[in-house]
Amino acid sequence: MHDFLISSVYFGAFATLLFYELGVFLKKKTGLAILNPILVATIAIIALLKAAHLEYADYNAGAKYITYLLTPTTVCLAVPLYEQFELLKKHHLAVLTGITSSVIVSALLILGFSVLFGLSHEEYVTFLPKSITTAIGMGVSEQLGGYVSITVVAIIVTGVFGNIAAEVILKIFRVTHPIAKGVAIGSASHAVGTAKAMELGEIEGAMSSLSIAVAGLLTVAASIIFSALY
Amino acid sequence: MPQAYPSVNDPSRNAVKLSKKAHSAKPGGLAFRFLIKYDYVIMKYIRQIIIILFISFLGEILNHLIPLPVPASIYGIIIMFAALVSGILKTESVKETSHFLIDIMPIMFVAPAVGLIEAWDLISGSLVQYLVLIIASTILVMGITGRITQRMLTKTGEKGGADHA
Repeated sequence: MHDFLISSVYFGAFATLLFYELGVFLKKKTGLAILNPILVATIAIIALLKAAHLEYADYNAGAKYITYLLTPTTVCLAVPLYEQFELLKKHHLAVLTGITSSVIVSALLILGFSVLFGLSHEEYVTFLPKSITTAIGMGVSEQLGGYVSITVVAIIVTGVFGNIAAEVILKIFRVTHPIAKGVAIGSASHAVGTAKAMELGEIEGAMSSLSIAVAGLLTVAASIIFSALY
Repeated sequence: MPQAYPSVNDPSRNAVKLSKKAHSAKPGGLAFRFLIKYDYVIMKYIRQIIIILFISFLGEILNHLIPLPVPASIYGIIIMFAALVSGILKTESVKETSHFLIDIMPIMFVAPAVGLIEAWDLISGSLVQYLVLIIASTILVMGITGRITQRMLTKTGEKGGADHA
């Protein structure tokens, strides 16, 4: 069985979908944001690989066909961005200023913490794209020489934390305007946070999902510049 | 001619329409009827996939040609967005497949995240620092962005709520 699993082409893809579904099921049953399906699936598959003494490569032999879809899917993010373009045009000054400052503040904070903790350059560029959507963040980390798997997990943890804490954070900072709330959530905690923004209201949700793509694109530029600083 | 595509909601009407079309267009019985149905329903998605893969491929070419650490997918987003804004591409030509792919996108992050298993030795020592960095920066980025955006909105004379819907 062990030798068979090593050579199997479908095992990895099957396990990925199965454990993701399990995560979706658990989240629906409990309603807990911490049971994010990506986190659940990741932990379950790591446990399975450890238990069955399988290498990452054995799993990825099948799972890579799912990852293959990531670039075309990221390209498709232009479609919702285009559909929300009118909304952006209407409030462009405030929204673009907000998103741009989020990208700069995020990069400055990562730089500050990396210096403070004495992280390596590789670790630093791993975290630079942590506030943006995984699809773009992975590509940035890879291109800059970061540890892609750590970037992915950092992005997901950021999203889950943003989702859970958004209401409290916005209250502490006294952010009450629905557009400002949406921009703050979307540009700090991407799609996973946006799920919370959609619960808060229609404007919050639309602004949040708009911010994902714009913050993602701006972060590509900011990461390239900031990667040269440390 | 997008109106010629059968609507998803009404399969029976479409079936009749399609078989009539199949008969009147070309004689050839069942095999042809299948082909024409294939053309109308399936080809729409095939065409959408062709467009999306073509733009991804263009992004790959730009990533290869331009010496910047910009992922192929980013060039792809820009090309797709420019094509939509300029009207070269209609939303209808990519809409369904795009929304489907975006809906299932979270599944695509599982395999890269499982790669953590190989990076574990690297992170186990600095796990606490990583968590502090992630949580503190998320709080500050969200709070500061919210404040700045709100400030800009009040400055440009926007009032919160109803008039934005």
